[in-house]
Amino acid sequence: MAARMTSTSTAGIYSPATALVLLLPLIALFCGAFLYPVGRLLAMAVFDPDFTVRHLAKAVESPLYVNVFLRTARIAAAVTLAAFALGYPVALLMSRLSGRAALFVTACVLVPLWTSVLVRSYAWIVLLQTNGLVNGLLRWLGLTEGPLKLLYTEATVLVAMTHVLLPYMILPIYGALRAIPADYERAARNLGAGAVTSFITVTLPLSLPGIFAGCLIVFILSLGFYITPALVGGPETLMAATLISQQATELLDWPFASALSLLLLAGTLVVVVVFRRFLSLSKGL
Amino acid sequence: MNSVSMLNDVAGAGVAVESIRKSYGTVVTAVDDVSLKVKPGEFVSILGPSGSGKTTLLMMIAGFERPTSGRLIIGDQDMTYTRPEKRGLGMVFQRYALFPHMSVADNIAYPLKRRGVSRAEIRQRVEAALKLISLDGLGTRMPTALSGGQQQRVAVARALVSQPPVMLMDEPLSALDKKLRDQMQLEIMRLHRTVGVTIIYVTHDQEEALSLSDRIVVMNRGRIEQVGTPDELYDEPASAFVADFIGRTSFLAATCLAVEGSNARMRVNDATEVIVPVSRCRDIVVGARVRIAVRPEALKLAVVGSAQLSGTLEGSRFVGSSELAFVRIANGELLQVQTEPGVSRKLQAGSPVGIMFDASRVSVFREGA
Repeated sequence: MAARMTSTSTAGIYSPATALVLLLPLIALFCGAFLYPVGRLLAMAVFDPDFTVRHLAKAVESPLYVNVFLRTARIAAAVTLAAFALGYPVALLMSRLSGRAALFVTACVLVPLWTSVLVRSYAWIVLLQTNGLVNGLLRWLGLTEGPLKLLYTEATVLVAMTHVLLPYMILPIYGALRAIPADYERAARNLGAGAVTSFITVTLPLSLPGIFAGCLIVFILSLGFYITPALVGGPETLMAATLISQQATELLDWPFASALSLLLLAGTLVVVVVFRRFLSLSKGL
Repeated sequence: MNSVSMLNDVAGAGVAVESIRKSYGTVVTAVDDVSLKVKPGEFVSILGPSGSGKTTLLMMIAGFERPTSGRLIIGDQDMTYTRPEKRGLGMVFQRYALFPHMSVADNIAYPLKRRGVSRAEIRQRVEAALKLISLDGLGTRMPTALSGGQQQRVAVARALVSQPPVMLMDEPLSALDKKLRDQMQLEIMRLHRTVGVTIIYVTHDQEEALSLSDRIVVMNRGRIEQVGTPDELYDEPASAFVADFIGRTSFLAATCLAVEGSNARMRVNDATEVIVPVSRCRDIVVGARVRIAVRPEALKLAVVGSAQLSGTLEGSRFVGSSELAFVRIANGELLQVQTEPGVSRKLQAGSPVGIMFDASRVSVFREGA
């Protein structure tokens, strides 16, 4: 926080007018290319052309759509949990390594991040399709008779999304862990705590801000995740973003699509507010 | 004094470091064959410049680094490879390392909780510890809400509350300003006296080591240069490094001309001959190039003609109770000479001055040793 303040004060060498001029292109882009279209879209949900809650009511009242939202929330929560369970040990390892080993693990985390989500999702299809690598291997080993249905299930969506979103969990946690001075754990060990106790009583609580940040990012990205569930998921794993896209591009029901978007956005904001509350509670840490 | 006895009924334990070596790979040897015996209840400082291996040595005693070879005995147990949490030592870190997510009381209670002490007793002992460091009533504060000096005291209390036989301190005062540092030094000495714990104290600050310690271990490049009381180190440095590192020292290049009975004749500055007692010389042979180490108080300004050395005054500095004159002699060496206040500063910079020196208070070392 202190560092940010100093950078603000060095920015003070620009007069407010100059600063405004310099910011203008960005502000224009933000308003013209983001705020306006999103505003238009969301307005469509409640003005058709006069004010109406018809579309919102349709989304909330039909169990079909409510189920999609519930499933989305459930999958997002499961992905967040899985990413945390898999990501925390990796982040911990990264924070403890140095030299070439650290470089290697960091590359393993970052390279997938730089690879297109589309490519990574298709990779899962290659692995899991009916005549894919996994089924082939299972049959070759004699573990299964015919091919298993691995694609288009909720479990597959979960696995693929966890894989795609894992770096977003690892990086904030890694950042938090790296910021903990080594002396804290040494102090704990010196004061009589074993490796496990010192982790639970010192390292884990001090990394909470990173955990919250990682979970928030992964959960929110999962709520609106489109490509991966659309590719590896089937009709019974329909998620919110895919539903919205169907309504807009296939059924051309733009008002209903925007009503769904509005609900998704509202839900996401609620999550952000709740998480921020947790985050500020853990700030004292 | 009841609060003190709550803190420590255990007498300090001895620590023996036996030929300990720590190397990283084949190239870097951080600690090279170091042996050291610390007596129970003793206050020993490990003093050295950065990179001298003093912190690595402390880390090995604490159990955070494994020695490459050698043995470490604490009390009467071999603890060379014992895990840090099983050693039962107290430690104060350079930046205190108070757990930022726990209150002051919880920080102090931490080692007691790990040892399964009952709740009631923990409360009692934490209160006693807070009283001992004069922070009673501040137990519910978070460490970040305390000043640097207060945090330092909490760190000491946390290290002592479990009654360790040995306390390790890693440059604990380096983050404090000068005035607070002096005050904390007194407080550490008082704690050491009342509690009776053995203290091993790492520092790069020679003044701190001189004022606190029973004995000082001077380290350089992974090896021990000298072990001794502060007086011994100051008056009889074992090497040019120790002479240079402890206190103010000027060096004079000289040649040993002859040894006559208990005196050695040396030629300083290519002209002047001086007589130094052999007892002040370390492995000197006739004809060898030597360095004579002199303290400012062993030198005196004098009238040019009658003095042993002559030079030019470059300037002088007021150091409170006395003054330091900086005199450049003919061969280019700069000597620091202590004078009475007001004496050297009356002289113009650039004026010629003579220097007398007290040969019984110099130390002579072989060149390059």
